Amino acid sequence: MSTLVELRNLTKNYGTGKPAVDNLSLTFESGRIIGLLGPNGSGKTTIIKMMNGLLQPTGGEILIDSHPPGPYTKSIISYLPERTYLEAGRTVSDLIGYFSDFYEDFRPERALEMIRTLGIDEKARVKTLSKGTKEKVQLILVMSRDAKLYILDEPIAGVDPAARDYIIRTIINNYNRNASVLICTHLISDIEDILDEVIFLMKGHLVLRGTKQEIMDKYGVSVDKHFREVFKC
Amino acid sequence: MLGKLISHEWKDTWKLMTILNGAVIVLSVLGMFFAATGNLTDIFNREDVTSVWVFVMYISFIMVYILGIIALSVGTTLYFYVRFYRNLYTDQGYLMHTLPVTEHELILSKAIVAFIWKAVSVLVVGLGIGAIVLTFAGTAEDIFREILPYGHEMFDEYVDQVYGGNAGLFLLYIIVMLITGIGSIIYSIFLGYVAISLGQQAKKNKVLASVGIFFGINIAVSIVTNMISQMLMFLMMRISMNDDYIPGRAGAFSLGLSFFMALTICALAVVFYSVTHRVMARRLNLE
Repeated sequence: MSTLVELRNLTKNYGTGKPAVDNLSLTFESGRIIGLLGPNGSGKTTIIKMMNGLLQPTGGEILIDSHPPGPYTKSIISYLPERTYLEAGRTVSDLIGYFSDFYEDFRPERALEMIRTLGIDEKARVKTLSKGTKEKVQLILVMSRDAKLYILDEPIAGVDPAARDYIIRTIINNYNRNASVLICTHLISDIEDILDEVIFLMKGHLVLRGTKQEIMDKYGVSVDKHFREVFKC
Repeated sequence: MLGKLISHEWKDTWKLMTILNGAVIVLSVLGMFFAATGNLTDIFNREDVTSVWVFVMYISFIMVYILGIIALSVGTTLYFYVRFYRNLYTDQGYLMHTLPVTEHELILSKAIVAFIWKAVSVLVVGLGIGAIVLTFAGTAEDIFREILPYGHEMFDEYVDQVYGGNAGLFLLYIIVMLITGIGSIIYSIFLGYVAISLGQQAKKNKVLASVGIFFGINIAVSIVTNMISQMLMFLMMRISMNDDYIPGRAGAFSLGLSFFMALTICALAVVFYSVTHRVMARRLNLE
């Protein structure tokens, strides 16, 4: 396994006093499913946005496959943000065409198969789809890439349990096995089984890092239970 | 990748732009019809009720035509500003900014398509008005028959007096004005982009901040350029009215003034583009 992501002394200060991410250093290996876990305001989304070039760090450095965020890193990262970014006027098949045009690693046949399995009308415009269907379409587009790194920000937040199962199945069945998957969530119990490794963050600092087994051996409880203990209000 | 971005931007915009431009073309054709069939002298000379109605219809049409032109011009500008804002600084920005493209490609793809449609709308309006005027000229032959023979003479005298008989200078002036026209379109596109981008740096009320910056820059640029061009105009007039007036001096000044306008507009467009790029590349902060 090689190092895929390297965060060196990463800092982000929004100018509101305490930094959202404070001098954080981390590395992620390839071929792992990693849970980036922490309560609201712990800096998860800020880190993800900086890795995707949507935010500029105040200090420190980010290297993804040895490159700073830019067109190259964007070509190897498949990112699912926590909000819907699809243009309302486009049809589902327009979106598949759009992703095919820009991402060389996009597999349209895989996307079409999933779209058809769910019975989503390819000719339907985004604005006519329900919120849940939009989220599924977005997940399908993201998971139909053979990316080197998948970054999924709260992929199961705000959906019903059946949809959660579908989302988790879609992630597991479709990700490139040589790639890493970084899942950012606070709904740990639903994804705990698929994680290789977990990272606990609090107020922009690393609190704990280890494999699922290491945490269970050391603390004698599941990741979810340990999270609840660490972040008890 | 720039080509792909342009192609998608085109696909997303051509329908609405075709409808807007098509509506003005239809109005222009209607205008040509009115101009071809109407006879204003006849209307004013007649005393029946019908002529009043025809007159009201003419005035109403002119108002609708003017509104159509304003809607096309303002609508095109606003539409592309709103697209820039929504595509790059709202939720859609999460997709646009994670495409494997550079910030230059993102800005240029939007600007190129906006420029094409703004240029098309200028041509549609210009050719439409031109066609109506020429059609009207055909029906008002009496007036134009008297004026036209003197046209060539008037032009020669103008070139003699203003450009010292140098038609090349006059041609250069036209070319510079054309560049100014094209530069103005580019300037207005990047003025909107820079205002939107700088407005995103505000902590609250980002759209309001963008609108404020837009008008602020516009007013500041207008004041400064007006002051400088009025100074140049004053100098030009003084030279023209001087007893020792040398034909061609006024033309040289007028050319200098238009060069100044063209350079200012192009330089400001470059500055606005650079600032937009810098904000997007270094200070992007999607919420």
